[in-house]
Amino acid sequence: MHFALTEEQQAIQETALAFARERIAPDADKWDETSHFPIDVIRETAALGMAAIYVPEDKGGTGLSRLDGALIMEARATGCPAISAYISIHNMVAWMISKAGTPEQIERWMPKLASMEWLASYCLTEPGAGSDAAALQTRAEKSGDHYILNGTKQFISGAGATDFYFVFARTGDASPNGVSAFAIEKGAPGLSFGANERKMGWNAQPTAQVIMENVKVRRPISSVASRGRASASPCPVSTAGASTSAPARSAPPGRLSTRPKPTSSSAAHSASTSASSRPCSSRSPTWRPTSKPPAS
Amino acid sequence: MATDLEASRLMIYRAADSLDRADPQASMHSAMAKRYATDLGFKVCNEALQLHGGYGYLKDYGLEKLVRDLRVHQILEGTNEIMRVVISRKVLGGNRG
Repeated sequence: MHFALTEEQQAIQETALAFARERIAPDADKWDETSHFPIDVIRETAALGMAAIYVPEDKGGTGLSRLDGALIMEARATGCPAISAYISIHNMVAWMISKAGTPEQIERWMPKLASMEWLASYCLTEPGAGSDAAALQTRAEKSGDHYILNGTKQFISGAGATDFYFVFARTGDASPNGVSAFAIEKGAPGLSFGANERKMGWNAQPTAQVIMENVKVRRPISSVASRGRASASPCPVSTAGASTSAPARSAPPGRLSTRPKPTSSSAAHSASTSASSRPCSSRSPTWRPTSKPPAS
Repeated sequence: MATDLEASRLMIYRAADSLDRADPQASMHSAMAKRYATDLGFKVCNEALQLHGGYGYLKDYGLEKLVRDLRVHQILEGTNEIMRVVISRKVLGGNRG
């Protein structure tokens, strides 16, 4: 049992703290007052590897642990809890895609999610299915070689501003096993959004309904369902959302091709390398203000 | 307040570590951590606001924003009442569900 962070984890934590201090905290009050969702600043975290933190590297993520993720989210929250919380939702969706997606789906979506070219929203809650998430009513009917989705999702973080909607819908019976996950891209015909909710807090991110009216989706996010068992639930649908499932720790062999291949596993190594755009990984967890040119 | 914060932090790290190790208790640890850290996080911020007296209530000092932002953490991603349901099922039913 250990109660001390490794040098690597300390470096990761310091990177996230510095980002929160330099890029989030100075404007957090303004974003709260004006209900501004700072997509540009949020996207900067992707260059640090903070958009798919615990997605394995061979699936296009940063390949860090959940504990590393907790350190990052805690540190970012020192700038603004609402911003850090939204980014944690994006990370959760990226992870779910990595767990439940087919190789083709992962290949198609993960680069966009890990780079935050696409921001993600997680759509489970419905107007009549909150704590009892398994009672969700959104339906996905098989129609030829695709599915037709109808239903309304409630309290969706980022709705209307994000690009990628991870939606749970019923494909089978009324039990939790009758639920599958689907991805809908913004702009899909039949996809619309409710008004931005007026909230007590979390004003730096929009919250709205996601409304699906005959939205056509090719297939569920599930390698199981794609083999013909559409009623199988590809992702845990519990009242606690994704937070209760337990992924196995991976030992990924590769890295994102867009990222520099590290030559050393020493945390100290990163201090001597350039870094404004270095990802937050086990080897290069550094961040510098964007106003500073890279040391190289 | 500092002790509450530290205890919350330890529970979160423990739950994250359980997920990393695929511990069969991971969902219970996660539910406990979510319930505890969000309740205590809100309480600590609310107490910090109180500590600042009238100034804590003003927008200029950042405390009221934290209280407003953290209140929802007790509700979302499974309310803290639902976390108690998850925990009680684990405690009363062995490792089921």
